[in-house]
Amino acid sequence: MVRFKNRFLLFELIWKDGRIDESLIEANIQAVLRDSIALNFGDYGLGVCLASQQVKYYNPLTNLCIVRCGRDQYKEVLASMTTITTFRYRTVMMHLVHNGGTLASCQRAAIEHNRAILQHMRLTQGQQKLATEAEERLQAMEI
Amino acid sequence: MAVRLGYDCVATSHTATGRLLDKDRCTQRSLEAVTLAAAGPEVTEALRLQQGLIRDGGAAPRQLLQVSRLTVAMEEAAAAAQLLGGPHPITASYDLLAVQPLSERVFQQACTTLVVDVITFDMARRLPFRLRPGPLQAAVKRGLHLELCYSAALRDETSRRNFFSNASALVRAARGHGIIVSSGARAAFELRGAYDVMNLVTLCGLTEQQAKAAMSERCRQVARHAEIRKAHKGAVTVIKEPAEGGGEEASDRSAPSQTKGPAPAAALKSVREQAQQAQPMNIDRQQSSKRTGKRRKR
Repeated sequence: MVRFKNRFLLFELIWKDGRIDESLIEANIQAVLRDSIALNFGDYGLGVCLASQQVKYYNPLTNLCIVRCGRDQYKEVLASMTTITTFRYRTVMMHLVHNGGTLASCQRAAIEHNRAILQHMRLTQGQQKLATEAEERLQAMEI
Repeated sequence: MAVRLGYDCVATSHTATGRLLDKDRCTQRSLEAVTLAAAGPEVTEALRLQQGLIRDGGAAPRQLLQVSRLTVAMEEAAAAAQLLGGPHPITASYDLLAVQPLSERVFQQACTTLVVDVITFDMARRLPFRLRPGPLQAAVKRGLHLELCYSAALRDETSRRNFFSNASALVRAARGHGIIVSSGARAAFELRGAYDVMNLVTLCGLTEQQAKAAMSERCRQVARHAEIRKAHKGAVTVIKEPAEGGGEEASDRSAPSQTKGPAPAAALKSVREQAQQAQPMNIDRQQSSKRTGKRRKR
């Protein structure tokens, strides 16, 4: 029996208006991604992708997101992500940062990317707290 | 935006239809590094980010390479031959020259005789002619490149369908040779990261290697082809290698992206931007075949 293999896509959401919406959570991303897969690949494509697809992590501050999907379907998932242009009436672009075979490798890439971003952001105190929390959550993510 | 996505070379396109008038002369000027740096904190941040992520060591940041390009949409063969059959003062004011055939005859002509660098197609509509392998391969043999503009896939459903249908027809007819992928974007948010674009075109039938080449080396070849075309037959020109080859290794350039500010752009109608060249991204990917170049623009 061959092990079921996944792909982990780490991507960055680039918002046109640059606003930080702290109410966004993983489930929202999952919903918009699901709609896009349905639009582009139909019911069959969606069904196949959904078998293993899951949004593992999203951080509204740094806009990083990790999505897991089956290795056989990652092209479809990635293509659906590419074609997303709006999200909650805001223009957005999803930019793939890392495409890894394990969550650990994505996590490493995410931590590195996070650091680079946060270094140059000016944060309010509340945001600072959020950032720390997000960082911790990322570090603590089970692999 | 182009910078933020990791591209190190962009081409800004001006589109004309049928005839060239004096106002079609190239008015694009590249943005200076200073302008770019002043474009906003986002850009500066992107530059820093890019340098932090992609570059190790302290090499000086380079300038974003900016190229101007003219796209002429042609329907009549006679007019096309007159305009694009040889040197022309207006076409000469641009770095790159592309033709968008609107009829079968011009398509044939573009593939076999016209002096251009790129043959482009309107991906958002049904093509008015069939793409046949014969002329396309002749074009590839002549060193021309065929362009796929992915921004059509980001607009409405119809244009997305047409994009996939045209793109797979093109890839099939050309057997994946000589294809370049560019954005054809009308706005910065119609750009996508290089990996995303490569993945998108692999769905149209290109292999990953071809997709990568379409984003990187081939765009460089286009630039080289343009230099050679401009030099005319037999004349000796010193080709500045760095313009093309240099992008290979450390390619972030520091330019920010607000490229087309209102000023130069406003004068142009339908400005399309297209990113030309890519830069390898140094993030390790798991699949070796997926190392990529990226192109982007904003």
